[in-house]
Amino acid sequence: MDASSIERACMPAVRYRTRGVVAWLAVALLGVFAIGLRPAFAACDNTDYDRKIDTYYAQDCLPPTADVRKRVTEQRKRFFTDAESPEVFIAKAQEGIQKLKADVALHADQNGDIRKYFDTLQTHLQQAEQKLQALPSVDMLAIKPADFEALLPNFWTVNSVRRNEAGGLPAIMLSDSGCTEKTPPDAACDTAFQKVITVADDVFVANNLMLDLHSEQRARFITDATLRRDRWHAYLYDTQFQFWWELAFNRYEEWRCPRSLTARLADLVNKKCHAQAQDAFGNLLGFREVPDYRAILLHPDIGVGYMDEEPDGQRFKPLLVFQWIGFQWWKWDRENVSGLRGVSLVSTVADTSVGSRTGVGLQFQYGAFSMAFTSHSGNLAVTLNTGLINELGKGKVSQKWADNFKAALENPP
Amino acid sequence: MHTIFLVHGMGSTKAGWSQELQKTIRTRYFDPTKYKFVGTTPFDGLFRFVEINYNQHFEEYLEEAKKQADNLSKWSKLVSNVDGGVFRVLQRVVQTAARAPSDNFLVTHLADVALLMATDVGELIKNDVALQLTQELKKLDLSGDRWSVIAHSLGTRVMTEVLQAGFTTAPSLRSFGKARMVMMVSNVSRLLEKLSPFNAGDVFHNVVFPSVRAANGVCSHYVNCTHRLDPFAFVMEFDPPATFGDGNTFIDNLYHGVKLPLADVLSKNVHALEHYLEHPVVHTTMLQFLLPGSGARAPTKAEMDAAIADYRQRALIAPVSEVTRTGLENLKTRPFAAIEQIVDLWEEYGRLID
Repeated sequence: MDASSIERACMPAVRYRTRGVVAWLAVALLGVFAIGLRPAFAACDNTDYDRKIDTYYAQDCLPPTADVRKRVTEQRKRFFTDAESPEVFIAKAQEGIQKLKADVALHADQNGDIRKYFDTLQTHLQQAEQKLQALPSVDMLAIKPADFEALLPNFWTVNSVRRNEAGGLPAIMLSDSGCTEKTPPDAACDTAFQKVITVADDVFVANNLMLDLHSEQRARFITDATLRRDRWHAYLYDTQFQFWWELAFNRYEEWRCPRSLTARLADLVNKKCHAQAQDAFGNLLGFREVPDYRAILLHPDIGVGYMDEEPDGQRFKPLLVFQWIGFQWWKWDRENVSGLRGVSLVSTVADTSVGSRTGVGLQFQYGAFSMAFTSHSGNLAVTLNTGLINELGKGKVSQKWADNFKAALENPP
Repeated sequence: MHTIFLVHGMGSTKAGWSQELQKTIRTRYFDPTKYKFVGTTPFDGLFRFVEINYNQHFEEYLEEAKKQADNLSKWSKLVSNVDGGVFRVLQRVVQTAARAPSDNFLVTHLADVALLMATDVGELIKNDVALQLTQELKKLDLSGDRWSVIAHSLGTRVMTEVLQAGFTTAPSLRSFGKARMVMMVSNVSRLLEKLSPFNAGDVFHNVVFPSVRAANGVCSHYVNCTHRLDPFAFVMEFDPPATFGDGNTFIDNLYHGVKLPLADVLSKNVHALEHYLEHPVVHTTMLQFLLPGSGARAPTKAEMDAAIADYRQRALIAPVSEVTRTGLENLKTRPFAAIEQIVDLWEEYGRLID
């Protein structure tokens, strides 16, 4: 175990009394081993004080002191025991700031020699308090981060960058003591580091408060990303497979929203395209909403048709169904495509003995099933997709028809 | 603990692609006997790697396209000798659709670019990568733990788009805190912005930049690595102007550009992430800004001189024929103003390294 970890594990004891250090340390170590935690003391980088402050609060380095842990736990309890909505989080954060301000005032009185740093911290807390009072909803933290900078986790993250934010205060203190690049152990800098930690602990507690304020945002980010990912997957694979030219065309149409052809068609079925917001440089903002409609373009497929005019034994035949252009729309039921509908202008091509080999007509789609009605020189062809054929087979009445359709598919030309 | 996300580039990448690379970083680059500044704390005590994968989405689409093609090819004879006129279009489309995507360089590499930039497969990828990222960030104690990103090639564009979208949406990635370092190797984010058929923004003025301020940027340090012979990196190179980001990135010394010279070649695939990281300037810059602290500690001049001398010695005996080397150098003299010329350039590169 290195010097810093001893100093860290024993901080309350070192501060207020020297006797009993060994006993306290032994108990702490036994506790750590007894509950099976990894005593990853090596993870605290003590190459210099600059690095030491940067890893001081890292998980797997050393846990914060018992006092700090208790303060963070109490603070968190306030957030997560009573708070039920993001709005309540704001009120809880305000309570937390009040408590912190009182703590910082007390610590400033107890540590007169470093009062000016506590005063700076107090100014940051007041700034955060004012911002909290002006914060209408936690979403604003994401929408206008620059307006609520003092409420962002990074503002409070204790690290070794000397900056005019609360998290930079410990690094400024180290720098003022001339200890930044000194290597521990160094008697003068060890003392200075203890003072840095006295301030940093309060910054750390404030950082946890801000992280808790953002906790609902983090959870919602993951929920939203999961939903969007699953919907995009369903869009690509649960509607109708898109050939690469269809993918490109639909992407192009989404980009042209709301001036696109598909956006106009979408209006007819009460759907709306979602134009993505951009900044002044044309950078897109946020993730794109998953559409609930799409175009079909030059889409070939295989189906089985019934052509009444054909001779006996040849009425069921495979057809190539070619959708020239079409439109599909649906509803999102969570991540699932629901109530998929579609209509397309189609041509069918078949080996016919009577009339034209090619026919023109319309195809309608409902869910996974589609049915095309085309005219081959006036002879009607009714074509089903494979999904519908399988469905036909489920009823006894249509079993024979289903078998005929299926048989036709088994013999490519 | 500091989590390092590794993001792959284009090509047929499988899960586990970074295992060797992780081992190399851990054991050969993070070497206190070679570079004293890394300190004595073991690598595993400070860092953990997390691999980000998105190639499965390209593969899924191409696999499905193959299935459709196979199915159609059985029946494509139906359209032979159809009546003329518009049905010729039908015939051509069916023939195209019935042709299964092949496994050549053009498909394994360039189809990835096209699918990402010109189709909604890119949206699936962005959301999946954002999810992979945040599911790992969720495990951290954000009050003390750090995270960084090392992205390569197409992964640089993927990460640029994920961070841009993630930090400008509500709820925002900012609620997880900013990355400590974003390292882009063979950065194609500028190039693909220019090649995109749609509006792809301006990578020099989006939110993906380093900043000391909590409300600005997405990271504390931005490292960008380019090799002079890498045809994915030197075409429309990512070389930000003084106004990059909020205009303070250069003043605050947060942008770190690394440009590797023509002669520094250890293998013919100069585009490979491994080839970049093997260079002492690249891996020491990476470690400098990954390690805790303000990044002020760096290798000494003597350490760097020794490492570079060793590298150059190995470059002299590298298994790269003179023909390949000349071929790679000649790529730089080819025109690459138009998209067709860029594709030709990349195809030629594919042939050279094959």
